[in-house]
Amino acid sequence: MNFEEVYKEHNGLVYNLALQYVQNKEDAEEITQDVFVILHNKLPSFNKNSKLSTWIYRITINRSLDYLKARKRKKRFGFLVSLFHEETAEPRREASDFDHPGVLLEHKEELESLFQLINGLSENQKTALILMKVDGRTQNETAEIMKVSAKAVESLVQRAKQNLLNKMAPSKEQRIKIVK
Amino acid sequence: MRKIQRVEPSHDLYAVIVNGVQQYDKEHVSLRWVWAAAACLALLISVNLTAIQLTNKAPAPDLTDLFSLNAQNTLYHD
Repeated sequence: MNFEEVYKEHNGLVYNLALQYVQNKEDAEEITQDVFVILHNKLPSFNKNSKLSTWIYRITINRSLDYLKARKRKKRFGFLVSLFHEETAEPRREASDFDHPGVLLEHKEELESLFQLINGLSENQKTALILMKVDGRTQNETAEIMKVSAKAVESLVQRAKQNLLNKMAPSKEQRIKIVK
Repeated sequence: MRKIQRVEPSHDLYAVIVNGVQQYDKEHVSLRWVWAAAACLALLISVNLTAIQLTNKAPAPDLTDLFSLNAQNTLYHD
């Protein structure tokens, strides 16, 4: 399979997965670009015994998590940079801009706050939740992508759900209401 | 979560990626060249080391003879 065929078959996978991590069109396109540059360079050395899509999932997840870390760092030092570069009058784009093209306008507010909570989860919990609940992968597929056992995936998703519930409604009564 | 729809990336993205790949190739030296350069350097260093070792094996010149500082003057015995 040549590079163009790999792109045609997997561009949707990479772009949509990156979108669930960064929730921003521009950032997701940048990640997609980076992932395919990596794929282009590593494709000749790809081990044909493993599944190509699993490998692409792993590269996309790692690149997305790295991107988020870099964004966090940039945000942390952004204040200092702005102090030294006052002459740049160009308005700086807020890093946390929610611009998810897969979210309809009527659900935007609701999903934006949900994604804000998901972003506060640990990397593994976030990945398990995104792969299973947003991307629709099965427990076994998620386990294979994450290189963990199916039981570990189940536990990660449970803990992620519990953490989200705790954040949404700190009191026990409110949590029961949401679950019902 | 089910409210999130699957979207297609922009059609220009492939051209941007191909451009990125070409840019990457231009900016990065191939691994084969890196290994070739490293092998050349290693060869150069080993040749130099061998040359130095061979020169060091020659006996050091005797300074006494070199500067005619020999205390025993044999001139009168001739």
